[in-house]
Amino acid sequence: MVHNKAVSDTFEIGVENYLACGIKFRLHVEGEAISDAETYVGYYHKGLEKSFESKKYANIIPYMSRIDNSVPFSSEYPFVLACEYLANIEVSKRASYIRTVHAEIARIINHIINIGNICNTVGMDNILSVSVKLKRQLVEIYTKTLDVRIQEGLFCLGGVRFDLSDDFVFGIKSFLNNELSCFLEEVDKVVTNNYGFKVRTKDVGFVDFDQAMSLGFSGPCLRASGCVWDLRRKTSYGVYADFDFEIPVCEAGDCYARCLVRFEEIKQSMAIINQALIKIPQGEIDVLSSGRNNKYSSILSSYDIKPNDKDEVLSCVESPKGELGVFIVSDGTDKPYRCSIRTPSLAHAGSLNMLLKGSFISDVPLIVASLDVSSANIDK
Amino acid sequence: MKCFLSQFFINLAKGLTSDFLSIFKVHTKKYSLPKDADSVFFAVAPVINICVAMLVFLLIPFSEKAAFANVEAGLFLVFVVLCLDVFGCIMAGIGSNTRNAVIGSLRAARQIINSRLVAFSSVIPVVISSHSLKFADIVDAQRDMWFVFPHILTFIGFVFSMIAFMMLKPLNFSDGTTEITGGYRSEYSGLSLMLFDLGDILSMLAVAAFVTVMFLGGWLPIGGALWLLKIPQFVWFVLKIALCLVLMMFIKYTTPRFREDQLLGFLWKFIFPINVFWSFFTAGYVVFNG
Repeated sequence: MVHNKAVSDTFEIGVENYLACGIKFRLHVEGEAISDAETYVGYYHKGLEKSFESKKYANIIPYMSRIDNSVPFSSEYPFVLACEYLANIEVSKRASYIRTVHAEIARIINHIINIGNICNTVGMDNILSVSVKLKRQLVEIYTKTLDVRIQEGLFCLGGVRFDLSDDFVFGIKSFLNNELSCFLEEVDKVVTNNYGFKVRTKDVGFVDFDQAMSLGFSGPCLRASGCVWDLRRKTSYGVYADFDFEIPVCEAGDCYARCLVRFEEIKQSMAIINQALIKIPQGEIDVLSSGRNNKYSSILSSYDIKPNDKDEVLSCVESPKGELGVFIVSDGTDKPYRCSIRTPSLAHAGSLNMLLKGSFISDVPLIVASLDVSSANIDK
Repeated sequence: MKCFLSQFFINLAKGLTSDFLSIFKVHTKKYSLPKDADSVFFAVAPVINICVAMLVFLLIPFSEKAAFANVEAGLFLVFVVLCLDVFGCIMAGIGSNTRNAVIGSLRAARQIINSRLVAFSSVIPVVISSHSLKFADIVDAQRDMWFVFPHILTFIGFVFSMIAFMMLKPLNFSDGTTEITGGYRSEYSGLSLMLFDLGDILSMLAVAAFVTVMFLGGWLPIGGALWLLKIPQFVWFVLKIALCLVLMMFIKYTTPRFREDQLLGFLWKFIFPINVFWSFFTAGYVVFNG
């Protein structure tokens, strides 16, 4: 007699499934409908916050880029800002512009891959293959012109490690105008205006305004629930005050709205990059290692940096997945006394218990992908 | 829609040989059996899937003379054979005896029930128009006009429900790759997994051949010129199958995988009433005019 295992009322979607993003789901199911959901995180814990206490400030930057493995620049940004506040370093205008360009490219990469992931969860895996191809092209531009691949700590204390070369500017401009524009047109036809896609993703994973605020949502997920909140506008860190861009907002709060908000944000990021490449002023890129032109000079010069006195600082940036914050307490030495990181994915993953209740098993990967949860971002 | 260049276009020699080398390589893979598996069910399941798709080609005539079995109630028999397809899925699920596999096979069983009614009802107007269940007669009745033109409403429903019926790609709930990681085929590897994939391709071809015979005029040439009649009927049949495949590929790459309840609602609340209405309309037309 064959024992039928599906009779039991719990269903687990494991840690290994790449669409589960490092979360273990234990779903109590009645047929295909989910009556209750439990989520477990912590399988990818790296102990970064504790290990920062034994590292010098300049050494921490490469570790910060591991917080969001697909888009490292945005996660380096808040830490660099916090350290510069502690050590009273004034960054040159050119370096800030270059940082903005990198951060917006990171946003484009993240949103492209996320739209591809959402399509993949509903069975349109061809869109994912196109978006991965686009990401590879961007990485190739970085490899050829800046001699780094995507995870090399482009930001350093006091500026950036590499100046924008003409090849890089040309490559990025042609990428934005040709490949990315083509991709956006195609996505507009095949995904966002597709009747089947709308049927599949509308009214799935619904979060209203109050729920989104109380659950600690941020970034595109918060804006998809109807809240006009963007740190690039509210705090204008870096040089975001110089640029003219819109904050796309959607009222619906479902998976389709989140996809739509990301789609519009790609266009705004393109606008920001184009403005930045036109407006970028001349000047130093790294105030600490001025004069020396070595690849590693910026690291060497900022190695012994130390804050002047006991202080604490919280710096937040609008990373592609949401608000990414770094809180540093310094005791005046060259190592942080305590460092804490606020990642957007952890807050988003906390809402999954509520969101999955009442939905179907087929909706689980779609909801997880639409919240843009990443395993490295949850467990730092 | 799909942007990958196949190996064939990159390097002709490598592209031609790689398929054969892959077939050779897949034989070297280890045959793995899950712990609680039923070895007979587990081994037989992929073969059934392939056999069903091949049986369809046995019953569908390729030209006026080239038919393996030109039976009187061919249409009826094809539907019976297609219903056997689900037994492969259920055997694979019960045979593997793991949770995802069993859920996948249960989904497959549900899906047959979902789509069978609609698939059957969408050929009723064709049967009424041609007064026969025999494929040769059905094709003969399309000499003046292919059935796709008068019966366009049921044609769309037929293609859609046949894709659901054979669990082909946009509507493959039984092997939902994202949530149940392959469904009934999640425990398979190597050669037996390849057999499942081969079964998918063959059933896609079978659906295309079925649609061609029912709606696209089978082996009849496009246009009535004399030189067109000299082209072998077999060639016309293959060309029309290719046309159907293009249509199905288009659906495959632009349609997301609906949820099961959404598909059920679409098939039963939308397509089925249209089919019923059109069947009565056709019957009335035949009674009063033909």
